[in-house]
Amino acid sequence: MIYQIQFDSPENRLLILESHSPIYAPKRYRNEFGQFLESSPYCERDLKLPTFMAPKEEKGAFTIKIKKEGLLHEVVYATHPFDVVGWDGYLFPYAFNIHNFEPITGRIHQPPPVHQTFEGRNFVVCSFCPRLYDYHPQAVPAPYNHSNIDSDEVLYYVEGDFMSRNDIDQGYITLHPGGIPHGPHPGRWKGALGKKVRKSLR
Amino acid sequence: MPLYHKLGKIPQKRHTTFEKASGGYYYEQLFGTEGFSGMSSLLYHMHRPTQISAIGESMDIRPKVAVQHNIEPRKLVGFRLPPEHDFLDSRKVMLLNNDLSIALAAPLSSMEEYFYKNADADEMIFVHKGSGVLKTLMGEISFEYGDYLIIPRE
Repeated sequence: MIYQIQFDSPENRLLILESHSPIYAPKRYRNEFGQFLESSPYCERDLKLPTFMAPKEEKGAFTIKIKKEGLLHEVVYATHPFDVVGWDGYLFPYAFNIHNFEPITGRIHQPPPVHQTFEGRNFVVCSFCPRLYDYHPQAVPAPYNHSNIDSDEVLYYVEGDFMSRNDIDQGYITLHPGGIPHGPHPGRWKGALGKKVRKSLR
Repeated sequence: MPLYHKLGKIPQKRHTTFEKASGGYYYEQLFGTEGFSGMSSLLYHMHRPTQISAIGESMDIRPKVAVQHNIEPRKLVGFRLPPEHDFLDSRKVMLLNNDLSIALAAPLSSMEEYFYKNADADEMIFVHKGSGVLKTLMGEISFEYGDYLIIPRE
């Protein structure tokens, strides 16, 4: 999709994932017609769709930098690329705000897939949003130690007090390689007992 | 997205003539990322979208891998990444494998001199700080803190 990105100020911090397969809303959130299910943590109304932009009827020299096979090519076109008068279909850029993700909670700790937001081939993207902690009287709200053999785990820390870690701040990334168990830092497991609300965003 | 959307003017029936009021025809383009079987859209251009007038320089931007076959749990301090003016230059790949790459970016300036498209990969841009507008040939999306922008490859 040909684009230009405009910022309101120089203060920008972005996390950018590039996937060699399409990034979709998880199939298990959708029915056979593609509609989001009642049990999905977000649905159609939560999506921000593109709005109409008046087409540009301009001729000249318009450079499109095209990334292909790891190279960036400069290709010059004779007409303005944003000359579309209309379109319809199912494939288009869109946005989804993480604050519209409705977390699924339980009496005891829910597994990470309840936080899934997108999927691609061989990976998922999850949003760990502010939510009520597990409410069984003896629930352990901190995540249990775990390891996966089929995936590395990467966490990106957005906002708040990061319960399971002592040494984390906004914008940090932690990498947990597959096959190596990981879990809450010492003290954080016990400190989480009896807590009611999780305020951080990852 | 498993969702039908429509913007602007389109002809009543696909793959039929669509005349401009000023004379001549609009040019149809099918946009899809998975052959002719995945999701797609039909776009109508004022000009043929194929008019290449020159091909300029090519630059190798493949990231150089610092650590191969990593087994060590790691922590990266993302906000230490220095800001850069150009959006594409500002993107620094932190982690990658055969399926995806994860980059951080702190761009200072809007993209004005050129347009960009990724023919390699779908992009997911998570906006941690900042706001603005994503302009595409299918319309514009204003974004703010907390938005995931999903941009299909083409």
